[in-house]
Amino acid sequence: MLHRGDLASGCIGFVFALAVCFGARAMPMGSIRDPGAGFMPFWVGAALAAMSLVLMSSVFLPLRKFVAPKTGELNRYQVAWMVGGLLFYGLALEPLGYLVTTFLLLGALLWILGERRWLSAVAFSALVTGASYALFGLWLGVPLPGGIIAR
Amino acid sequence: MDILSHLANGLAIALSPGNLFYCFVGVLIGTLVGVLPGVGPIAGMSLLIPATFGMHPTTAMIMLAGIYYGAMYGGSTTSILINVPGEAASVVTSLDGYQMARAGRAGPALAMAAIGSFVAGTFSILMLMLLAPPFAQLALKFGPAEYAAVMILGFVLLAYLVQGSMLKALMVAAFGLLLGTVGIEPMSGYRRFAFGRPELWEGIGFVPVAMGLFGIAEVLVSVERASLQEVIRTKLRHLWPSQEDWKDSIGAILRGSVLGFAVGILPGPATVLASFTSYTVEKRVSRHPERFGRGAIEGVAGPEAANNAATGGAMVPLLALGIPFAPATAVMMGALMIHGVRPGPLLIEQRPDFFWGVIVSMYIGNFMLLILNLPLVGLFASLLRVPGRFLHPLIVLFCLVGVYSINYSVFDVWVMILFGLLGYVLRKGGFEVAPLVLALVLGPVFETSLRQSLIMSRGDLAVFLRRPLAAGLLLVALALVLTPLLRHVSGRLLAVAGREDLSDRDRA
Repeated sequence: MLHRGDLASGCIGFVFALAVCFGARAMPMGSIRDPGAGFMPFWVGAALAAMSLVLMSSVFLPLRKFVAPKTGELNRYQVAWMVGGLLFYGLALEPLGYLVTTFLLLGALLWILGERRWLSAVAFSALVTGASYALFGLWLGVPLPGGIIAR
Repeated sequence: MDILSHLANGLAIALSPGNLFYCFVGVLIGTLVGVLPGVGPIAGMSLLIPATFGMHPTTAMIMLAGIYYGAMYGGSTTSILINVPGEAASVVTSLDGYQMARAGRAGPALAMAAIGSFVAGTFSILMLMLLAPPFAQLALKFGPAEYAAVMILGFVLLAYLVQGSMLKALMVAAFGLLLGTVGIEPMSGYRRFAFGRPELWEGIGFVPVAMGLFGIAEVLVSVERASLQEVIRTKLRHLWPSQEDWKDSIGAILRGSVLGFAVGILPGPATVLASFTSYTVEKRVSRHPERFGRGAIEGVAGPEAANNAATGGAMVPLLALGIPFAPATAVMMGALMIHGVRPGPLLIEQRPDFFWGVIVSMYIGNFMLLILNLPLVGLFASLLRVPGRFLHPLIVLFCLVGVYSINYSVFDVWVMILFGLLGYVLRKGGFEVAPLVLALVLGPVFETSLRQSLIMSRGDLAVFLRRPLAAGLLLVALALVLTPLLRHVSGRLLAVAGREDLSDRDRA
């Protein structure tokens, strides 16, 4: 059985490497006697492009067999929700502020990971958010984003 | 100054209350990250780098090194008690350790793992102390060509040794090298791949990348596989090993110490390789190989000694050459560079306080670990009762707030989140992420060495062949790249020959 993921990985790697090579060509390349800023990215990009082609070709030409590992049932939905939570955190950290965003993220993560007792989820989120704010914001003096609370 | 006066100086530094405290914190956190499945020493160190910013570089290194070797002690606890390795280097410990625990001999297994780790850890520090200075002297004779060649060999050897496809590992290393080119180019000041973002002028931050790849991605992978872990509990009885246990283990510990240190010096995932190699060796030399996998104590003692010895071995290239060969030491180098310390051949000469302070603190840390791990093993094991649904959000939060606190930058938070996703996707696709970290750290040094070699030789690539050491290293690298290809071709030829032979017989 062939690993279709390798084809996608090879394609992405190849396109990325080509983009790097084009980007590097726009920089001062210098010469082999005096390499410029574009020298290293260009040649490493070219090497990555070549390796990506080899990876892709290994899918088309069945040089090796891929045996899918036995993974059992995976919690893919939980992972997808967690990723959503992290992206939300990145977007909301500045507008909503550290306290609100962290509280919401922790509550959401607990729910995603199977904690269904809402009181325990709220208490844990509030306690950890408060403790981390006290540690980083107050004790270590990190200027955590204030967001809506600071306004 | 002779070695004894250096040691005395190092002892004074290591015994200062602050360093002693952070050494304890390091080994304690190391034990914890070793105990907790899903959080390895690399993630542990990455998480704690922001906490070291206010510290003296020596103190920071003492704490980070403590996490590294402390994790090797902690990893055995879960392997033996619940058959879930706390970190990759303890995977083989579970084979016999867990069988011993099931037979009611968890105590001797844990004790021998701790004693073996202590003996091997001490041995490896001694060797590090004796070998690093001459290595550094040798490295002073290195020119840019030798440095570039050593780094190429390092990338190739790491790609060769990691699990899975070598091609994929080399691709990841190339990606890491490209990431290392982002930002202001050191020789001409040209801004590369910054896309007008001032945050990228100084390059992609090492800490957000490492925390994303080893913190966030690790949590995502753990969450995905949470239902697959079968946790079986056992009771802890009779801690002290019997006379027969000692007889069976002593040779394994000594062999594991030597082997682990030697493997640790080589590029690659040092601790994991060391424990696997030791297990294989012990099984080979045993008069009763059939006992392995059924509770042989030498199957615990040898690998546990080896993975601890490997931590000392892995520090040799970092401290003597300034080239980390293992992902964990790459994290340490990243942290040291943030602190303005550039490891390399001149470090031991120019900053003896740093080198000897760290070395002596490692002796002290090993004693602390022995004391921590024997009587308190039950306490550490009880940590496993914290459900993952509470533990994982805590790790995620530490990553988020930790990375923000470096530059007070939401951009860094985004970098970490994106590299967390990338790390997860790469693992799903069978790509090891360790070469990426190594290449990101070494990339700028490699580029400078390569360009200096070309400028000095006026573009003559033969400079790498004219210098014997560089030529030798590159030849080894080439052989390693060609080995899988040749193995594959010879395999195909043998298969074809076998098929022809069979069809000839069928015809006959």
